Amino acid sequence: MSSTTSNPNVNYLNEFKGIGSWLTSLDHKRIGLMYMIAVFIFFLVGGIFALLLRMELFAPGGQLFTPDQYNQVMTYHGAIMVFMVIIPGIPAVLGNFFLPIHIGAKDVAFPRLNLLSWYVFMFGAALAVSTMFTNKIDTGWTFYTPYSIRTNTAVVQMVVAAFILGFSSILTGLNFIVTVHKLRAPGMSMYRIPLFVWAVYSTAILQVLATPVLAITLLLLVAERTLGVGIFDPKLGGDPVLFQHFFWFYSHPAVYIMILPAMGIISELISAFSRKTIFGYTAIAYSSLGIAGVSFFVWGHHMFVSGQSEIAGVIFSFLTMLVGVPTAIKMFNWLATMYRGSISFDSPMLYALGFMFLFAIGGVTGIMLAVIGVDVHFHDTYFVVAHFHYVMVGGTLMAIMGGMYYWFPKMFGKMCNEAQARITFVLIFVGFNVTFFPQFILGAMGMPRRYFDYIEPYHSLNRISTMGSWLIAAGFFLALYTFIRALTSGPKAPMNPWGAKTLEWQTSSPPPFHNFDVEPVVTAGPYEYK
Amino acid sequence: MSTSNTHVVAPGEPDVAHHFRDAHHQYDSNKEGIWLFMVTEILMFGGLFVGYAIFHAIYPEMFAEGARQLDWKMGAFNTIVLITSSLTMALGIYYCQIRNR
Repeated sequence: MSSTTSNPNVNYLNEFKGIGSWLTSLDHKRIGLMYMIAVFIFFLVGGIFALLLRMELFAPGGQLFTPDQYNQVMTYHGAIMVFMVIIPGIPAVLGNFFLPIHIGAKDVAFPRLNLLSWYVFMFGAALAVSTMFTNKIDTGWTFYTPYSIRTNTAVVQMVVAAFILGFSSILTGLNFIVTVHKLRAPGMSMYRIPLFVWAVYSTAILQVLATPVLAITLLLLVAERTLGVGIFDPKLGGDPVLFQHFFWFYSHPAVYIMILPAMGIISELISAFSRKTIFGYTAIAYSSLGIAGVSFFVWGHHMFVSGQSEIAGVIFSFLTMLVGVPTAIKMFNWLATMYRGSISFDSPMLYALGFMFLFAIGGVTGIMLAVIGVDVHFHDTYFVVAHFHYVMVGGTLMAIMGGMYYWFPKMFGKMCNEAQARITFVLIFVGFNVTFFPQFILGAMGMPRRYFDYIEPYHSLNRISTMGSWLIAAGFFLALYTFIRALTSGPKAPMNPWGAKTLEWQTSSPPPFHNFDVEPVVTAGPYEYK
Repeated sequence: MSTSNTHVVAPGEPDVAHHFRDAHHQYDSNKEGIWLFMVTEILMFGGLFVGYAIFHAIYPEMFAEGARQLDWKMGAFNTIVLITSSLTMALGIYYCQIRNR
């Protein structure tokens, strides 16, 4: 403690040395980085699977895989990207690192629990990944019954792994809620916390309230497979649609676990790079809570064609469209923030603008799919695949990249090469649209999703889509190169390279072990640019 | 991290982690954390109860038949064991707290 105040060269990265000091560290910043390394590795694995899928779909007929292998690759792409990349991506990495600093705290409320959740995460991930080397599963990431009961693959192990990963997510969420309630610095009222904190806080509520339902669903699935209790398999008197209800009761809020923190990052970026106070702070903050609230009542829109009653379908359709309201509130507030601001197009801002463009497409096609008549036509086609990739990749992943370039100087004390960062953006943005826009058209033409083969009329658009995936891959490898170059030989970052106003920029880069040499006393909101 | 915590703990005084203001602040936060954890447990078992209710509604006669197979003496014994174990645990915590003061 005393050493950090006297010596500005000592920070959280070098105060304690050796791999053991990392693996037993209770410091939220170090745990955030440990999550980051894990998530990057899983992103690489999931991404390679995605490239292989696109290679297979380059032309009709078998290219690389048998149909069974295609199902397995598709399952691992989905399961890894959902459970090990996008769900922990923002809360556990950037949230862990910046949420306590944003509110002027020295750490999260329960540092030991935080470390435990990393170990739980790694254990669950290891269990999930190890099925790849034994008995590869082929159910898709949704584990739909009755197939997941009857298939002769390592469903139990994978499902137990998802259960364990869920507990890691619950512990992180619990930690963040208590941290935001109890550890705010003097003067940091709830209406002075940055919008990123509001977003991660809303996400934490979802993690705590929704994940236990997934946990019990997966346990019931394991009980059915191992003990033969008839819960979801109609052959044993069970109800397969009940599984879908249970599963989507978690997994639809989980979609907002993925996108809400991304919206929080965008709020930070838009305000910082427009040099302007955020427009409608309370509206954005409450719209995060609003999305979190509504998300619990929309799960039925995954089941319009699963035989639920017409009246249930109509209600779920209406409630789903309701999600568009708080989302649009955010969009228009961001636009209003940019209006007459002095915008600088640094790389994080490019990603923020890319987010707004792609997420708008993803969101509006979501409203289209909420219309029952349209959904009956588009259900299980590539239109749905394109829609959720526009939200998950065009939304969340764009925000992660923007957040990484924005906070990299703070996390490591080194600046990234700005030219490379912009080229990366162009590659990912263009590549993304080339990959996924044709899939909207393919879906509208009726190409079903999850199939390993297709007929000749779908050939040219699929070829374009596959070529786009190479552009995305080039972009991410360039990003990796940029990060490694910055770490090894990047110029030293100043305290506040972007001139932003939130608390993390008021401490040194990288921050000292206790985050602030003197506990900050907050006297103004987070975006006082004028 | 405890290695950098220069605060010397007096005997009988609870150890306060570096990011809390005082023991009361720490106690308050811990209490909120454990309540949140209880909420997740309730939700998890809530799913189980929903499943029970649904299948009870679909197959009422099967559940009645199943219930007839059960032994009420074993059930009563089980309930008594569960309740006394909860009671002794609660009393144990209570007396720990009294002695600390």
